[in-house]
Amino acid sequence: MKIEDEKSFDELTDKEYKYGFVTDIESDSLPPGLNEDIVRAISKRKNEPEWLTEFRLKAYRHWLTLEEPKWAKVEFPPVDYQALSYYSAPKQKIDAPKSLDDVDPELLATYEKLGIPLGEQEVLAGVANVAVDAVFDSVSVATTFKKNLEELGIIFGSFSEAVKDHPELVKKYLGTVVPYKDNYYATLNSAVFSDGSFCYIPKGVKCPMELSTYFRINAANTGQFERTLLIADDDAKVSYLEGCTAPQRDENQLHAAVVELVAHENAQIKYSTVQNWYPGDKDGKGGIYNFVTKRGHCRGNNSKISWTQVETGSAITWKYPSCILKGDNSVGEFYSVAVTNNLQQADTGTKMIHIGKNTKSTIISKGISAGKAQNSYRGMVKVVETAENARNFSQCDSMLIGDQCGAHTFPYIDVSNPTAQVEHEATTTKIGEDQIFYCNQRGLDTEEAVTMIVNGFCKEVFRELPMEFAVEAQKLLGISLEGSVG
Amino acid sequence: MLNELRNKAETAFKANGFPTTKEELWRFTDVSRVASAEFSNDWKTSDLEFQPLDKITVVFENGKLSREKSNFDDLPKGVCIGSILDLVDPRIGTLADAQSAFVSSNTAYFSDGAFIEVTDGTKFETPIHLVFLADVDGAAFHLRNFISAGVDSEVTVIEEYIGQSGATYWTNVVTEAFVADQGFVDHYKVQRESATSFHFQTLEAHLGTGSVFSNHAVTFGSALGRNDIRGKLTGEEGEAICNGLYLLKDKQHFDTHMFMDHAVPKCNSHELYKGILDDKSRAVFCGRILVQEDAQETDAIQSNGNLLLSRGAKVNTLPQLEIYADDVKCTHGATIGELDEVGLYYLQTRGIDPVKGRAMLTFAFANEVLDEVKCKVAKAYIEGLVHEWLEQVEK
Repeated sequence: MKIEDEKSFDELTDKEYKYGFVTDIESDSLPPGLNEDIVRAISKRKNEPEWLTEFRLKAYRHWLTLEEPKWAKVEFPPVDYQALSYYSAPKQKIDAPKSLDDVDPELLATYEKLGIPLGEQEVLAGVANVAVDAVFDSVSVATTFKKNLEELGIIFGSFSEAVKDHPELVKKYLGTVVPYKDNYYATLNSAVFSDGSFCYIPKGVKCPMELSTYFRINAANTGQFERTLLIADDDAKVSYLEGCTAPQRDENQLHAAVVELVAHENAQIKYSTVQNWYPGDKDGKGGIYNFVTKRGHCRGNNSKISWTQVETGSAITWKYPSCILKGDNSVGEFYSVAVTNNLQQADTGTKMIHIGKNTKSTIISKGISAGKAQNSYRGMVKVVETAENARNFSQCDSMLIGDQCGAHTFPYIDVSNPTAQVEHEATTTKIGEDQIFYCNQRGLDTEEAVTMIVNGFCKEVFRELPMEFAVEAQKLLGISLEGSVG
Repeated sequence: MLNELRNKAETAFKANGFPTTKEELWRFTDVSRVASAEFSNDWKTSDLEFQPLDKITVVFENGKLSREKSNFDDLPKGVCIGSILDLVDPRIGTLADAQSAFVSSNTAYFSDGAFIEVTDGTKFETPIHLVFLADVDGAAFHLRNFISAGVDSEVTVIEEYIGQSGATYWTNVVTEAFVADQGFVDHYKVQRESATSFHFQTLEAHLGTGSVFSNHAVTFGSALGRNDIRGKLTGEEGEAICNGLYLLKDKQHFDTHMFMDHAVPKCNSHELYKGILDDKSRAVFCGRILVQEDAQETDAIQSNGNLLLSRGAKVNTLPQLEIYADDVKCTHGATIGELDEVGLYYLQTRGIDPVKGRAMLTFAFANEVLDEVKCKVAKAYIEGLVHEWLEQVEK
């Protein structure tokens, strides 16, 4: 494709990251550096019980023995873990906000700017039907719809509150899906996680609204380490959304989160993410390092966990939402769109571990690479001896826009049961000039045509997203790819 | 020249040693059984029999060329066949990855191997049948083959490895193939080593403009084995075809690592690998296609199918695409499963009993690879071996 209009091309590439503003808010941070004292200090600041402090310390000591993983197809200068601050919280006027009125208006304004309504009146007025837990830097600032959910017995709120109010639940499930020894970043998270969301859906309850966490990194030179724990008890059902943005800064920021999902018998969890961290500028300066460990455990029979992700942001994405299909007849799904432009790098995929009988998994991954970006799918499908009649279907499609980007596929398929049926397919294509020409003919400019074609390419994934998110994701895709046609 | 090469290789081999399962390329294949074994240099003439496929046979018994058993005296002009020890070419050792332990030990210690050269414009239709017989228990055989096809030439080479049943030995082969512009090399490998042996081969092919390199690797033997197949497309409109079939039973472990390097535009590469696994056997398949930045208009297709006949059989498959150019058509696919019950049922409704139906479907599965075989004698021979293997498994 030729650059048709040099000027508009430049305008487009210069288009700024919409969420790149910084909120001027006083924050309460720990000094940079990481040692046992810092770990204790974080724990103390949060008034955590002894067992949790121990959990953190065990993780920290184990972390010291580990080395950063090097196998992913991403390149970046080494992270100086001692230069980071491991705790940053917006300073509250009163210790803990009792209601939204107590939350710093500056903060609320930030969320409004991001398009996240925290005021419930807005929500009640029919703007959205989503319960939101907003996490600012490392701390949960507000949770909406708490009362309505409580009536149903649903516990939804910040991780710190859950530790205080429901320690037995947290203790029972924390680290059972992603153990503290799991990997470098998960171990680091286990040591220093600051807050996150906690959700428990009791037996037989179908959550009537979408639950959502919104993550925002604001402070400079901090790492964000949140931890999400979501439990769906027998016959429960929940749909969960996660969104994220960060201000535009020149230095790289680290985001190492852990998400643990537990699905008991007949439970269903749908977890959707629209990841739009600051990707860095077009020369690759700045941006978030998104090193996330997400895993779901289908513990009970007939349970189901479905991951849907739209990854458009971050300088580097290192993320493999996985499902352990332990219960018989359990189902795991992974739908992913990963878009990389300019100098972004993504190494993302999934793991499906089939253990129970008649377990099924589906993987649909769409990678789009533009500019000088590198986009890799890395996934594993494992069928162990006990997994009778396991079934997997994987499809990984890559699209290349421009001749300087890369698209790679690294699937690992390990099968140890003859009754298993495993299929994997991958294709790599570019947008055909004939397709563009056809659209041009119909009065669409090249930019619109590309967005349209890419949206069509990703349709299988987008239709898995909840409505509000699907619209946002399509828009995001357009923004991410702006300037990539040339 | 050769001595210098050997010395260098020996130093590298001693420094690096054998790979361990901690290395990504060797994750699923543990070679400690080879690394820790002591192999002798004992030699004797071989008592093994073989079936010559055509007029030309080059026989190596226990790692050494046997003039008596071979038959390659009557050659047309432009075709040269002999021992690699007599016909040294400066290109020897320039292709194979010198860092690999199997290549470096081979370079250091190879005792013999075939040298085949067809000059520019020579089209040699008779297949050259290389037979490698092994029947010395406890020995190591390092064999080095060299194939060179000139501009606009044609040659067919069939490598066959036959081992004494019950003998434990290590065969370590490196084959380097240079295909000049518009050249065509049709290469086959039939591996029938003893079920208690170790067999490793590195096959490296270098393809010029408009050339074709076709390889079919059929594996029946060895307790632990691996084929490393590497193709480098260096001229436009080159075509590489790498197909294979592995038929494994008992506790056999066989690994295929393929690497196809598209360095220039407008090349094709096609890979079709199929495996049938019985008992507690294990197959590893890793196929990596690299499309370099300038390699526009690449057409690469790779597929790996595995049929599991029994509980306890295991497959690890890793089809990989690494693509740095946008105007390409690349696909890969992998499947693992058992025989299609619906197909069996259909055959039953047509009066074919399940045992026979099973045999038919299993053969049909393997036959997709054999369909691609151009050389008629090779095809008939391999088909016979596949049937024989299937009959044994049915029992």
